[in-house]
Amino acid sequence: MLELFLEFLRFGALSIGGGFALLSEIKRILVVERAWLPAHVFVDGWSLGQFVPGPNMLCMAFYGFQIHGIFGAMLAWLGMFAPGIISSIAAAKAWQQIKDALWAKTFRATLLPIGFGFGAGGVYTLAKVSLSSLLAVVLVLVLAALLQSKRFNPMTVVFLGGLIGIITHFWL
Amino acid sequence: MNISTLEIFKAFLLIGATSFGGGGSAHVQYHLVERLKWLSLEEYLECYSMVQTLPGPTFSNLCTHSAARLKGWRGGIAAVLGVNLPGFLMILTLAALYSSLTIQPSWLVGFLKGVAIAAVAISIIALARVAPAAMRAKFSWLLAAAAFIANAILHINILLVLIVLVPIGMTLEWRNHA
Repeated sequence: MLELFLEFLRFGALSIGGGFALLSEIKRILVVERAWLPAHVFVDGWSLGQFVPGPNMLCMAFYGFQIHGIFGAMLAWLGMFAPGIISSIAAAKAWQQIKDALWAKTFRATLLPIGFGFGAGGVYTLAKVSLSSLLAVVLVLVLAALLQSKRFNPMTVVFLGGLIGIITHFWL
Repeated sequence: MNISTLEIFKAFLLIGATSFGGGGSAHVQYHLVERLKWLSLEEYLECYSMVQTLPGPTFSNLCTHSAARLKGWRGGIAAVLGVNLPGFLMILTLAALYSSLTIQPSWLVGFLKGVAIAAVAISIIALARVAPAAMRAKFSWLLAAAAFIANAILHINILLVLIVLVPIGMTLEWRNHA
């Protein structure tokens, strides 16, 4: 159990900029080096993780469960998420101290367009995976227009998208 | 603004229960900036950039970091628990049923494709709404384009991108005000 926790803690501490970048390394450790999971279970866990709402790294709880039941799931989650939780809170504390310094104002102004560029990169990556047909492209434009009109909020649009997906799944 | 830890937990529980299909940060932007008005667009975008440099899942870190700015470590813990709880319970249920899950019904495949498409639409609109706050100087578009290309096209490590772009951006920003 301790080994399981420490291994996931290492994943959590090494995955700077998100867990996705480390995914092939995580697979190598769990499937090959430790041989805790068969490869098809690793792949299935990733797909099931995409099905649930919230962070996509929740698939780590699935892997922990397959290795060591419910406690395995909790330890795997804690290991993966704890480094981020601690550093996010520490960064917020440090921010309160420095945010009004002159250099910090320049730093803040610089972060805005760079963050926008990263955000655009995230949308591009999502779109490349999801927009596999003409109907999908049309659906994105329609849903975006509904959101922009402010008649719908993101929560309604997610479920509307899911509903349309169920009805039209043969063509998407 | 006096926000209780319970209110933070409830807000992030709602985000955790409804952010299907990826693009979770757009949900954080909608709830914290538009619906609850706890953060300005600029503050949200600062949080978003900041968490790219931290270890661990970025969406979860965005929730923890923005809530910790609002209400210290208690807020951060409340947010990360709230945003993870619904999905954690669902994935545990799926993990327990896993051995008996052999077929994927086609309506479920359709649902997953549909929510992933909705996530793209939500993210595009979220991005369009932060654009005016992010792009205030002439050189802003250059920095944004460089970050986009380095990150999404060339797949360069995000820390390296920041180490190069932040000093350039700060120099341009400095001269702009001097």
